[in-house]
Amino acid sequence: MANSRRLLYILGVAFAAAAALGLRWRAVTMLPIDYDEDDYLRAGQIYAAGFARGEWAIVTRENYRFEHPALAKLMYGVVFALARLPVDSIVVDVPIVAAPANSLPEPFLTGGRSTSAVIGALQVLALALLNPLAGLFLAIHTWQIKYTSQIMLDALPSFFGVLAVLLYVRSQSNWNAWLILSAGAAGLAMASKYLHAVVAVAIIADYSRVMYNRRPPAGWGDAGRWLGPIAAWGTVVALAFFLADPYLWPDPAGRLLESAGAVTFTTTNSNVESANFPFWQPLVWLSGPVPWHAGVFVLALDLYISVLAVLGFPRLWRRHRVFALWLVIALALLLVWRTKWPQYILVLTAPLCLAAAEGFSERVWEPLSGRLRRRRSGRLPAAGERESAPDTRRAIPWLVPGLIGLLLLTIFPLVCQFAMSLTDFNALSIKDGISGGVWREVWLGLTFQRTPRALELFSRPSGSSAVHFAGPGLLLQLFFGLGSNVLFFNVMWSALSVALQAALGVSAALMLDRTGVRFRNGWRVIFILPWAIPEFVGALIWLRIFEPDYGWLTQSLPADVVLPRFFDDPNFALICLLIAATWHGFPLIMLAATAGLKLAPREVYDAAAMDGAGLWAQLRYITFPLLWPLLAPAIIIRSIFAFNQFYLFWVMQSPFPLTTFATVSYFMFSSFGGGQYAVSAAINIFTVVVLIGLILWFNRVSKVGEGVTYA
Amino acid sequence: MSDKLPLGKQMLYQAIALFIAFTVLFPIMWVVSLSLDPRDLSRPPDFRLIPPGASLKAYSEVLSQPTANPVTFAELAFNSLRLAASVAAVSVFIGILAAYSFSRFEFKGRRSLMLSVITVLMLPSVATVAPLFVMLNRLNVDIGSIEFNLRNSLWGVGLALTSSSLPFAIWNLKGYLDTIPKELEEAARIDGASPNQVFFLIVLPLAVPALAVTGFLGFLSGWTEFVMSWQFLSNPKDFTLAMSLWNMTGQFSGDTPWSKFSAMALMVALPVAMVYLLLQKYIVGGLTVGSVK
Repeated sequence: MANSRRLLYILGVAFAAAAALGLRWRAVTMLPIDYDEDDYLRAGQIYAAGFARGEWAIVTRENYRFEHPALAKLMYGVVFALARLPVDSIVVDVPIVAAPANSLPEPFLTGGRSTSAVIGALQVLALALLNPLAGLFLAIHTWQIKYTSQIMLDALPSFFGVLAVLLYVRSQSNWNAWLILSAGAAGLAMASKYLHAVVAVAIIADYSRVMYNRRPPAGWGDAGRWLGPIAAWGTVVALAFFLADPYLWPDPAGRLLESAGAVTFTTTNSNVESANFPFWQPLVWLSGPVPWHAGVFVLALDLYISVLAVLGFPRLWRRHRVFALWLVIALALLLVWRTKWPQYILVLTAPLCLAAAEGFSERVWEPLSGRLRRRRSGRLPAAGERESAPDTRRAIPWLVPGLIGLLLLTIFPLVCQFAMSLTDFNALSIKDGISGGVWREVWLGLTFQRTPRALELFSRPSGSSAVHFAGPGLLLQLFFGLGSNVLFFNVMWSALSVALQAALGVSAALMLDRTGVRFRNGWRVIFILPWAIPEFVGALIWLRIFEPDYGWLTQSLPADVVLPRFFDDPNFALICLLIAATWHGFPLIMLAATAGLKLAPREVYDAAAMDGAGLWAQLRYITFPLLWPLLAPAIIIRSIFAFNQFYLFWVMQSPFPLTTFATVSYFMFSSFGGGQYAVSAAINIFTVVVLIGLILWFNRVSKVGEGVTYA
Repeated sequence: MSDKLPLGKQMLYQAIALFIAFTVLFPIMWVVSLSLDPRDLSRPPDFRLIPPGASLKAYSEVLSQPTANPVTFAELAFNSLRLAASVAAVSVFIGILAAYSFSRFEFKGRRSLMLSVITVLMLPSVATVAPLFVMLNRLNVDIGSIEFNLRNSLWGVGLALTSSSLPFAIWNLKGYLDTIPKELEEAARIDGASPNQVFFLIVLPLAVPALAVTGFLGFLSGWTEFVMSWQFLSNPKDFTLAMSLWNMTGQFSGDTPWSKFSAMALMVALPVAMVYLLLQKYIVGGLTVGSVK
């Protein structure tokens, strides 16, 4: 048994590494030239030319694009020199904001890219040694493939990052050779790209935790014993960093400062300004595959890797604390850091894939294999689980009107939507479509009498007056994360807006419920008012307040205070939308919480206070357990409502990715969006599936939810 | 435990409550102020609750002819009322029947049917516009002298709106019915009541709060809906209040007649707000009690 497991493990590791290498090789040959590849190619060539002349001191003199540390560039130089590539002419120096080069000299391009790819595959191998499935996820992660198959800086530091953490885990937080090696690897990661210093931060965080748990310091005087090893570890990191970046040797402080100054420059340069990403953009990238370069990556499962990672995070936290800390710290940094480039997410793909692997074993593999084992051992679930149906006959007359209504008015439209999503039905083919064209094409398509016509999700409608079968292409594009910017915003929106409403609603209810508060009924009536105002009227009023030109806010501020423009600054737009939604939504939660508080007998609190329970303990152990059953349905209603929120976004005309699927779907349907009925239908089908997934997840988290939805 | 709070704490709570009340009321007060302003400014230079030269002119204008179409406020309101009331009535009527069977009978496919109700509950209501448009557009009603296209009529809009309020009605009413103890009905059955009598004399009276709430929320969806109506209706005689109100806000906020808009917004919101405030206890009970078992 142990032997077969070992064999399986070895096969898994080998398969992950082979897949990584194969996919990266494919990307090396197929990817077009990207921004910055010319820069790092040039940097490598400069070093290689120096080495060819026997001028070794060039490493202390040159560091093209000095805002980044030298190690990764040095690696390209060494590879070019070792391969004895003839460096006759060096790629020209262009400004950092220039468009990608049209062509780069061979064999440098393929040589540099292959070096990246090999390092990327080594990283997969390293992670696969810890967990083969995590390695496999890392191997197929499209962002990981892209940026480790180009002449970029990111392959080397993410490899060293994984190495550092693995060595640290091997050391078991004891002061031994492994620990020193991990410090060295962390230093090398930093010397390849500053951002990857988060690995060192994560290790320090975990190391301090372990040290603290082993023997908590008795007092401040004792803290030295505890901090000493950590400081020593940090010093080794710094030393390795310094040694690996020869450009710093002549003038460490000055050149480090110079580099840091350039980093602040790049955070404000015009590329960043025009990209104008919201703070949550890294999460958008993580919730979908690379949207460019169709056909290069073979698989596009990034969305599902991220979903599994969310599910697996609790287990990652229990089993691999240092990886969990790494994930959390890196994510926090990416959210806060103003510069947002997609390659930055490589700083956390490794722990993300490990979390996904844990999620897969906990939520998919173990339940499945458990069921299989039970079936094999003959312990099937009892036959009594089938529904008994004594009342079918009596129920029918009661059900008939409802069933007819549902079938005609809801199920039939849902089926229609599904059929429409399989075609290219749009405003131009409306005549054919509404006179049966949709059904004709779907029938012909599903019986293989039509070859599907390819369709892009966000493209111009095709110019034909007849409907054509398009296959499940649109739906597949959505399910593989092509709408990831809207998907992520939509999920984030439901969570944030409902959380704010719940927080404000519950706090208001709690405050007004304290004994002796005066005018409580008066306040309550006032607080309920926004709920009584139709949503679109409320949205119009808030639009009038936040509107950048005419809005009340702009006018009431002093002339020299310039408000961020609603449509240009997604972060500001999110705040405006959240304010409007909270204003409208908190009363329902407040009312539900008030009703719940009435159920809690005062004596319980008095008894708890007698037993010495503080205010927080009373809230935590008495109030919330009593409130939750009442709040859960209100929260579910609000969440479904927030996920499908339409009027607010339509009225406020919020800028594109800041919207809900319901709004996009309606926009695509309406004449503004070109009447793309098929796209609109596909989005609706996708929305329902996502919502069912979210509700099922909520049911898992809260038993109450189950009562509400299945009842 | 004394019933009096220390003065400091009392002041703190009152201050917080005042702050929330201000935030809540500010947009509302502001609309009131705009509606009283005869200058019809898109950029009033200052904010005063009662603007200089305040008058009710905007209100009288809205009452006589709110839009460019030759339709009075009363006609629009009547259309809205008919639409909203029929949506409410139909969804409550069908909803309570289905909810009763889901709650009280064990039958084949009960769970999967209920699950499908919840699934369609999650469908955004704007999502059903396209297929319903197609379906209703093909139906022409022709009864003697009355002849119209179902899509291009308030009937059609009402049917379309019912499609989104019906699943909610079934779900919410079923949740409430589940809380009514079965023993009551069993006792009535033993005393010789027929199933219909049990339903009409025992269950229905007990379900009144939930019926009121479900009906009211259905009414609200009809009263405030404008997207589907704009897609479906073409005759100004059929337009509703919400449609006209939305129509007033032009492409750019500079074009909007703000005084009239604000006056009309208040007049549209007022009846619903009144009912809300009167029914608030019912509403919360009807929405949440269903889950406490």
